[in-house]
Amino acid sequence: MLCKWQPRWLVLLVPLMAWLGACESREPLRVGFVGGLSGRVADLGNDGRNGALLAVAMVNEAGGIRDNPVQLIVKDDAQNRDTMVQAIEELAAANVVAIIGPMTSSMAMIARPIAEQHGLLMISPTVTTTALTGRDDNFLRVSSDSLAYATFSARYLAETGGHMRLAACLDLGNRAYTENWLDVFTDKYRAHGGEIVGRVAFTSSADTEHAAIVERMLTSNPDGLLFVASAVDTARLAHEAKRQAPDLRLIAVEWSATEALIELGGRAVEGLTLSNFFDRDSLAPAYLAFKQAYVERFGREPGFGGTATYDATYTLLAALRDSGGDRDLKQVLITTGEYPGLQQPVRFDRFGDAQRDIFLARIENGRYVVIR
Amino acid sequence: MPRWRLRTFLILLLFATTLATFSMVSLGLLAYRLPQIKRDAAQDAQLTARNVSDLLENAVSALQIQLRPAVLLGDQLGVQRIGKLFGSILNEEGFQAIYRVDKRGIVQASSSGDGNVVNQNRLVGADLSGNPLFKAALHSDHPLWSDRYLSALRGELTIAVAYPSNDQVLIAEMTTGRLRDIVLRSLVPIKHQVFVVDGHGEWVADNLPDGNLRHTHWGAHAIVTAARSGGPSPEVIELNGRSFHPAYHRSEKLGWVVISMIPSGLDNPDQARTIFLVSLGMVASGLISLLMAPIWASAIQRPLRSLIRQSRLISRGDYSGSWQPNRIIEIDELGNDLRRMARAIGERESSLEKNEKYLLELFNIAPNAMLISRSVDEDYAVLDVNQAWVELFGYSRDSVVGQNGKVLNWWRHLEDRRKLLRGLEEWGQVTGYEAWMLNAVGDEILCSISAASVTRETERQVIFVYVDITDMRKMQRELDSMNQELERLVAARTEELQRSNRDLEETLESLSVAQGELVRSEKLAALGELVAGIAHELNTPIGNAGITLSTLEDHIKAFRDLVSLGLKRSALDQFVENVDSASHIALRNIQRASDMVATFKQVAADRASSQRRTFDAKELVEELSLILQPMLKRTPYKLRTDAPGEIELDSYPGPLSQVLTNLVNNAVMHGLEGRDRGTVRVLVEEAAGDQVRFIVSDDGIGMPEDVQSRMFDPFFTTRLGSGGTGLGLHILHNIVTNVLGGRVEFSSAPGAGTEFRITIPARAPFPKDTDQQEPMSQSR
Repeated sequence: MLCKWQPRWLVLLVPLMAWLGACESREPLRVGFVGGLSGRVADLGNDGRNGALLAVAMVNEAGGIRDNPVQLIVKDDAQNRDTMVQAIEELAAANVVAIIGPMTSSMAMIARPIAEQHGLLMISPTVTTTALTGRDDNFLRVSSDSLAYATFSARYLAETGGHMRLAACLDLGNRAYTENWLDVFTDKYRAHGGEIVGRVAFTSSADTEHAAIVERMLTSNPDGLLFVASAVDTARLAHEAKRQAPDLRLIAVEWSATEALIELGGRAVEGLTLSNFFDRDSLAPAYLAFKQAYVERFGREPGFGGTATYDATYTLLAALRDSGGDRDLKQVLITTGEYPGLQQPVRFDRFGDAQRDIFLARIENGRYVVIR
Repeated sequence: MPRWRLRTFLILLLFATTLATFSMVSLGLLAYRLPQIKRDAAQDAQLTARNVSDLLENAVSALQIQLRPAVLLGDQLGVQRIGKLFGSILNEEGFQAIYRVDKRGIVQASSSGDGNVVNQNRLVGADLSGNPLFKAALHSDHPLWSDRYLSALRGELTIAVAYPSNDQVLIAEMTTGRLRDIVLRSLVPIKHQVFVVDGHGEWVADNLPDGNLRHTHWGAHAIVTAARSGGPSPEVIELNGRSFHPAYHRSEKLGWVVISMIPSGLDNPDQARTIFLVSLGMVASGLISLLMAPIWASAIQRPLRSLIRQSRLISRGDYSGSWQPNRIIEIDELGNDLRRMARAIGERESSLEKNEKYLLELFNIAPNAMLISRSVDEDYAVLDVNQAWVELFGYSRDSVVGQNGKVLNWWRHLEDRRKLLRGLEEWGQVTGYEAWMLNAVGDEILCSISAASVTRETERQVIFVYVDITDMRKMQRELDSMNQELERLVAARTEELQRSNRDLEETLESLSVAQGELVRSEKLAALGELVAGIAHELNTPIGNAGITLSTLEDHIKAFRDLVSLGLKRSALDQFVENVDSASHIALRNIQRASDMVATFKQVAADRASSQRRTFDAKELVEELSLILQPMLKRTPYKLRTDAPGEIELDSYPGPLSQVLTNLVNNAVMHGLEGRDRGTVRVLVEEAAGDQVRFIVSDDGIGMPEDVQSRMFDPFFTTRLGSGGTGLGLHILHNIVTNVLGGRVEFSSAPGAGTEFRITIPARAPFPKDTDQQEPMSQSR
């Protein structure tokens, strides 16, 4: 009887086994990341990506979430509207549980509604526009908003620099951030007795005439120059400023506080003051471990993009683990209270906004030195 | 349990076998081929990586060659001129920005643009001292390619090459996009998928269809870490859900890693093809086997079907049919066996039929009336009756089949039927139950019914045997009455006979008395005769003696006379002789007389007074001879004796010699009478049974029949009045039988002589009616 039946079973077994073999053993948990990996703010985007990768790698090394590995799906928005839309669509199609990013406010304004359409949560590490503050929506952030940063900077400047007359320029390429920041700053600085005497808008591109911009800023004869722009532009502007008006105080925004600023600025950015997302000299053990891992993996030190993104990613993954897959992720994030961060705990309010410590730093000898 | 048609089963079996065979072969093939493909793929990938690395280096070298004029002349030309030179080098397919940086990091001259549009010296004065490429170039003496970084000049991700020289560094940049295009152009002939990462694991370029790879960081990827450490590349990596066999080659010049990938698994065309072909083969073989299987199934089925047909016929009872020889040995054998079996069954059946017929015939011709019925619904129904039954009861066979006795009213008393059937049910059989039955015309028949039942299959059948005993009963009754009559007669006759018997007994008794009296009177007469005889007998010797003595007297007288005259010697001798002789004769005669008296005494006397002793036969015979010789001397006859010695007897010698004497006398007197010569023989011999035989024979005239028959009767003599009392042989017989315990035999025929045989036991019996002791106590 066995002989009679055996061939039959064998026949059935072969395709069965083949199919079984082809099956995935476990479905990974997909998390999306979107940021400007190419384009003029690629340093920030890449830094953020690295932070996210590191967070995912660390969680996977610890066994994943409930034994499922985490997979990061990385999309580039190229700091471009169409690219961003497509990126979100692709992430949605890839069935990610949430999106980390974007890194810039303008991109966030574009991405958020699309993500909302697909029911996806967005946790941004570095988007600070106040337009997204205090809204009960699918957008969360792990850093303070521009109100906080601009206010902080305004106060510091008022306290340390007296009442200065500042000329500012802003990059309309990231308008949602730069305009928002400058408006707040202008408001607060005025309240502190300062004044914004000039305001030059430009749109960053390869053909940007930085010299012309500085020239225009100088026409209002300011005491200092405020650059509300990215690291690349700030570096070039600093060059021009040093060339055209070497004695003027230069101030930049936290958006430009990447390593590239120093690399590209060189001596021109010495003495530049700007607010920071984080303290590069922090001795927090978590941060030190993170920094070491980052350096090992990526060959350079992490910037604020990497640090903030790491926090955002790690928090998301922790929430995923706690949610058990069936609770509303946002609710979990908001109601859990506190998540461990690298330098400080991450805490969401009921709108998904967070408070992050703000540091004021100055570039000295090619390094950021925190002064407040 | 599922059941299949043979055809279906065979088809499935063949199909499954083919499939299984092909599967196993395929698996084997795959097991052999797939690893081979993998190995080849790995090798291929390795080769490709190497090639691409070389191609890249070539491309990069080509790019670098573009810079040669700037490199060579860089030191010598002034800012303006060098700027122009830079501008001329820039082209659509090459560097997009070139600048010269002094040792401090300050840009001295720069040129950037895309072919037509060239921005000169835009960057002059910029401080690139923080630029890692610049910093690295300061310490290098050969051209260095940078990692990906953000260009100050262009604000895009850039790759740059730095040419250090004595006091300056020439840096030429191009966007990663352009580099990618350049690399892609080199990769066009490469059929495999390739991507390039820089020293940090950041993507540089690839020839993959989608751009997903470029944003991922590769530094931690297994293949890149392997490349960095120089270890073996992993066998399989996954990209975008597909798996590949990777190989890497590190370009020392660029510090970049070229990773080429050959799809593995089903993405690999070779593998896919192999698997496809194998699957196709399997499917094809499956289909072919499905198509062919029915044919093969038929091939097997045909002979089986003929077998089945055969057996079907046989099961239906058709034993005819033949078997065609078949190619397959087993089937052929089976067919033949079936054939044989069918024949055997047929023969058996026909013999069974014959048997049945025979049994039926037997049943029918059985001389006893028999009926077979079967039980049906609590009652019985006739199955069959035999001829004898029909004749006995007068019903036809057809009229009774299916009916029973109650219905057809055979039974005089239904009670009998009930009893019979009950008995049958209780004991299973009944023997000799007598009941009155009615035949077809209403006559009464007395039947002795025996029945036995048997269960045949599920039916209970009973066989009844009817024996018509009506006549027999009648005869029996007659016989009985005759017997009774006979008995009565016999009784009567017996009574008569008894009466006669009684009468006879009485008569007998009186006869016996008369006989006794007669005997007594005879005896008396005999005795008288005997006495007369004795007297007569005695008279002879005594007379003789008297005569002799009177003679003697005469002689004496004479002698006296003589004496007176004068005695002569001769006269004296004569006288003495005469006296002697006379006395002798007288003595003898007296002795004879005495013996006779003794003998006569013996006839009546108590035999017990005879003397018994042991003696030798020979002696006795010699004594006898002695006694008898004198008598025989005067006759012409001789007496011969022959007795072997040492025959001892414990008996009565006296009577014995008397017997022998008697016999000799008889022989002389009767047997040899009138003859002028003759011999009397006396023989003694031992006889069987410890007996001794004395034979006295003569060669005389013998005895006629009538004499022989009466010889031993008392007082029978052939010469009455002439010397015989007739008692001699009687007495002799008595003596031999009673005293000596033996028997007398004789044989005689006229003219042939006579022979008497006296056979006696060596030890004579003791007389029974005496008061003597038992013989054992007697000493011999």
